[in-house]
Amino acid sequence: MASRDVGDSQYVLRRAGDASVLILTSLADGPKHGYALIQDIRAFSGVQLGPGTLYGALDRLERLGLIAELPSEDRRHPYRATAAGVTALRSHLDALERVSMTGRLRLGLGAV
Amino acid sequence: MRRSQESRIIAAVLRSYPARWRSRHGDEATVLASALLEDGTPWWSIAGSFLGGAAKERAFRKPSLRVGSALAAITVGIAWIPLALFESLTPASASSTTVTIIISQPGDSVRQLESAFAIHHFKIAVVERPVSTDVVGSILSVSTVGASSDNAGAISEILGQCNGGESGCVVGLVLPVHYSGSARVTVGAATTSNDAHHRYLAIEPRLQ
Repeated sequence: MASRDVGDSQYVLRRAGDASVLILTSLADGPKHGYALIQDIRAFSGVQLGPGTLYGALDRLERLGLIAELPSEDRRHPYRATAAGVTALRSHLDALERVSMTGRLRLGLGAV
Repeated sequence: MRRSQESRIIAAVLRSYPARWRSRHGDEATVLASALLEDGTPWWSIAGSFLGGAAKERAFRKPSLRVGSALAAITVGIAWIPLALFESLTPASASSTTVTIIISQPGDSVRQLESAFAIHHFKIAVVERPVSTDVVGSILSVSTVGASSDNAGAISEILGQCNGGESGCVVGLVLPVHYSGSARVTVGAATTSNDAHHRYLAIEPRLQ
């Protein structure tokens, strides 16, 4: 059971949704506030995250302990990824990579 | 549509979020919406996203209120949009509202009350007094300091369940939104604190 618990916490992002993965990926290179997150996510993924979706995902990630709020800059709150968030993101990306590699091999595209 | 009208519509939609959410994200969400409008994001896209977020926020807040509350968020949001189009309309006239502050969980009441008072710019101090476990987190007394005739008796108490399950404890306050007096609220505190419940404060502005 212990190993399953570890697995569950590592793969928590599987249940947290795409917006959460995008946000954690954006925070992987440093803290950002809401508007910077939207801009960065649009730049690296082409996804335009709506502000309502953004705040819902930020609250969810914070409840899960994957991100933390930093002291406010004027009226904006920057967020940073916690150690648990970095671990969860790494596990999630590893899992995606395995899926991607399997899919490419089965399509005859070869590994990247 | 002018930028001011777009901003007004979005501000109206933000009012459909629960007070707890607004006190935490409201200011930042307003700034974010302005920045998005500036960079060309359509107002209806921003408003729609916030409206969906408000419905979800209410739907997942309390299981017993899920459907009704989420529908209420959507209804309130939609109802405010046409009203917000009128330039002359002042958003939710503060002079006609009261603020209801409810301590929904008992262990973190000092911080909760202080932040609620700060949000509304009330000059109300919160002090703790060690008490038995059953009244921890309850409001023990409210004393006004130099209350003017406008403010005398303006604070009313809400009775509810004590920490130990009995009824009759003061668990909230109702104040005029423009309360300008000074006051001191004494809250029951545990002699030792080792709980780790997730706590939040519900602040619901109500029309008089």
